[in-house]
Amino acid sequence: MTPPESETCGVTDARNVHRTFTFTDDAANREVFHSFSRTTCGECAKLIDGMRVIRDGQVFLKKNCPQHGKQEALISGDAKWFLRSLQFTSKGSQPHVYSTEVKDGCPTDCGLCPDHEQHSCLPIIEITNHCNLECPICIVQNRHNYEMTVDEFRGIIDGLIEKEGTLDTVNLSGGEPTMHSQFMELLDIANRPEISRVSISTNGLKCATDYAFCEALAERNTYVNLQLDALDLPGLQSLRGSGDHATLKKKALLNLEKAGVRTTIVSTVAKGVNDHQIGECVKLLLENDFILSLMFQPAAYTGYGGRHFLPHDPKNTITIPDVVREIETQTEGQFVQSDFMPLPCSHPGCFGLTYLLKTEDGYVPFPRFLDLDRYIDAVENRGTMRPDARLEGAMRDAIDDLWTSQDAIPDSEKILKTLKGAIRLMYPEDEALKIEERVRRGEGVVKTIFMHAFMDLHTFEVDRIKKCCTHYAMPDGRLMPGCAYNLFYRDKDPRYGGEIGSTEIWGAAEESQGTRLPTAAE
Amino acid sequence: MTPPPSSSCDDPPERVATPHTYYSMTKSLCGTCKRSVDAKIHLREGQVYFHKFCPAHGHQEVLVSTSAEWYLDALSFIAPNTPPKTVKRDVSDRGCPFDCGPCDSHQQKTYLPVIPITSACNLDCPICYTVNKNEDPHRMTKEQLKEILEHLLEDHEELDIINFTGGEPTLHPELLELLEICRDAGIRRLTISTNGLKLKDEEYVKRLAALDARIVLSLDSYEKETDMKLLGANTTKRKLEVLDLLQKHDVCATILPAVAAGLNDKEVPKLFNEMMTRPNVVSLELHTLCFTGQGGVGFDRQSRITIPDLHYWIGVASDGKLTPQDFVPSPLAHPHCYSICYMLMLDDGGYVPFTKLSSRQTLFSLLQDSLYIEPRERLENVFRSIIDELWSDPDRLEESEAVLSTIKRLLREMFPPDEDLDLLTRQKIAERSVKAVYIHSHMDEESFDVARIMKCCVGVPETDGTNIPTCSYNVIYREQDERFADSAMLERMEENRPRRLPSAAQDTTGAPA
Repeated sequence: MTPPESETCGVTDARNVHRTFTFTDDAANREVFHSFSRTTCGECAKLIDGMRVIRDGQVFLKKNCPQHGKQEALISGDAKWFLRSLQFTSKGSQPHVYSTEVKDGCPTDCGLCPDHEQHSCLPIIEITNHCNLECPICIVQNRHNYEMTVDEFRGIIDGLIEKEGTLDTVNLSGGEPTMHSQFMELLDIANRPEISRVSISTNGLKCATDYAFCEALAERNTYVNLQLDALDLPGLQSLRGSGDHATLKKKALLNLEKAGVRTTIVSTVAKGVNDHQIGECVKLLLENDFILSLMFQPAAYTGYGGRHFLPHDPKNTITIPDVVREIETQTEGQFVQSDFMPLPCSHPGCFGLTYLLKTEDGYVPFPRFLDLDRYIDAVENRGTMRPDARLEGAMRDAIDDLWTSQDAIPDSEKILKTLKGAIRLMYPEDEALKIEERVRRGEGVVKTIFMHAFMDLHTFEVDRIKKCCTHYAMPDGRLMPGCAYNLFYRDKDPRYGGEIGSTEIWGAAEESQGTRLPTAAE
Repeated sequence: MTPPPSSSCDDPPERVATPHTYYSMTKSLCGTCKRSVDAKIHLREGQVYFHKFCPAHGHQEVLVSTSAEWYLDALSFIAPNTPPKTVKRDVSDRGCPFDCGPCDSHQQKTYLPVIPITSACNLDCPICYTVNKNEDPHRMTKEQLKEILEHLLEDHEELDIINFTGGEPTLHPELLELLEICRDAGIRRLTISTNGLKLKDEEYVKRLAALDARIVLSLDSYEKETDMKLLGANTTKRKLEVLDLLQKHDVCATILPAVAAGLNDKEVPKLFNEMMTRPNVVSLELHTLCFTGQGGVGFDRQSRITIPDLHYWIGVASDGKLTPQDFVPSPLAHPHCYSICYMLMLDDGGYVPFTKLSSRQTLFSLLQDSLYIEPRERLENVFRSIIDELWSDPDRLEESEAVLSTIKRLLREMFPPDEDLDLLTRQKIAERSVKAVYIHSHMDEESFDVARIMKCCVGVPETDGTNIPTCSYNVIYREQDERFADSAMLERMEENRPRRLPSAAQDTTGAPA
């Protein structure tokens, strides 16, 4: 599970996001070869040639393995979104230190090697591979036999600071990180002035059953990324395994709210399973002040999930623009497709998002009132907005623009009022605010909806991995671009090499409605 | 536990951005050993570079376009493709471009077959991008050509165009007979790429005229010194005389310079003028210099020029009348391969680019069935729409009166209401009033882009029905082709190939290249 925040301070170099496309009159009815893509065989993981083709308004990755033959995978459910997304590129940032050399080429020299195009916006530290769930959709492979030592963890934190200088977010994950026997100690080690935010990615079991734990998290200003796919029970079981997951999540939410923990909801969306619940998740975000953002993760079929999930057709999956389209449909147009953009910091195929401004009458997406280029400027490389001078400038300019073009933009009066209030709150003239306080105040006014698409062997593209900003941190100092680690390195990680251990899986003993799903042991 | 002390600085020190923007990736070749390597596409200071890594030869970089805007603009043109009917080779572990052809990865059938009918050449140009063999040279037989045509016709409903090249095709004693075979097979456009030295023979020219053969004459420079540098000989005077002869006998011609930065680029206006003032010259085809082959491999890389540079020079040539927006890619090839501008020559002596008469979209659509605009229904409809639009909004164009009368005349002559003229006749009428600038960028091992070769619509067909895209053939396969690969020549090439490419920009960290 990966958290939503991603931050770098790259310089915007988005190329002409207003660019239009010219089509021949038969382009819509026929297949279009768009570009080359170095990819992997879905069966044997070998690096092979692929091509992106546009067909029926969608984009497919077509490939031909010399051993396993022709294959195709859907990489974008909306060719228009795909074409437009390519314009959302910006300069990457460089880390202070690269840990590996370029020797044989991508993706065998991770990480990071000097040919990588983006620093670690979002380092993830998997502190344990124990987990108390056995989710059929899991993208890692938990072997229940490893716990990171305190020294290893401290070494990683030191190394991150050496490589990055400052970090906007560090994420603790796993397995289930709350199962780590010295969890609180690790949280405290991560508490460094150079690290603005520490988040944990959790299934919420401990939050649901241990209120004091939630209080401890709140005390430390820990951000919780709560895995929550939907509130609908049958759908949940095929993703998460047996057990009453809905009740579990509801309890977790109650406790987190009560304790005042800043929470993000992370929903894995699988086609035909819980895609009809997308609107419910948006509603959850909008109706709860303590929930700051919502992250949709279109299912990627790798790791445990790659082997155990219900058979899926790689040509018929959920992609980022599909989530966007469902949001529009399921919120009945409260938000529309044009409210969402790709995030330029990583590869434009990896993230999509929108920022929502809280007005007294509801939420208004920023792209509706902020000039597109200024929006990208303010948004780029930010998971949660960084209320720096640049954002202040953008907000002030937005106020000026709204003032002069009030008739052109609906709800402009409301937006103006809110923006002015937000500026007063976040950049008060009579107070010198620390950045944390400003962040906190900003969080009351802005919510975010993200989409983060991981790759599996069907959808892997070397193109995308080169600008990955979400890196797994290894005790030996390497930082591994997430999808490369999941597909090529995780199975060989010597830390996990011992015999497979065992953990009690929550919900396995419970009666479930419908067929019991096979577990790893079977 | 108390909350941590807040950050010491409100705005932390700005991170160091990469000097470039990473746009995407493709696959290219190592400039030294030609193995396939990943190529990152970098946008830097408004230009486009391939940044590559070869495990054996390290990091390397090549300038691909002096304008990132053109590079991205070209990619905004979207056209479908028609894969070849028959796949001749399996995809191997090495992948593209080592499995030509076509292999299953190839995306486009052959619209322009290029036939090297002989390996002999009477020049040894320092810029030559093929490999020529004069000792016991290859000469295609009539039977071989017939076999090739059979395969080509199988793949096409109508074979539109064919190009004879070499070496120097006029050195083939049976050139005329070979042309006849093509004409009899129903191919309408017979083109010959030639240095023209043998066309001083008026009888020969007359016979070519009788076959409606089109001469693609290479003419690179009017300056003696530059001529020497590029072609290794003084050819200009002769070529201009040949042009006069072609004009005299109304042989349809194209002027084709290979343009090198800092050498003959400044002569583009003169070459443009050459085309505009000769009624039998229908197009100017500008080739960017290509650093492969027996000459190219050793040529000074400083003279690498890219398509947007040639847009600039055409702008100079036309006094600003023709801009990059008047050019479109070919829908049939990869958008980075061709940049095409068509002009209507007005009866009163002026000219207007098609894009101003209608739009880039329209020009793009006119090119969606063939590399060169066909005088078919689509063109007729476009002419009619232009008339309608100008009729209702004549102030839109300064030249609308002249345009209207020219197009009306063309419609009358090409699409008379009571007659259905054959395509060749229509073509000849059109070619009196339409000229074009084609900018064509061949790839060498440094600039090689697998995406471009996958959508290549130009190829070298063989008697066994295989077909190899031209740039693959130039860079990889010709050297393995005994008919063309002279071993002494190959040795010379290896000696002249730069050992180390012009040094890549520092790795972003300053790590050793």
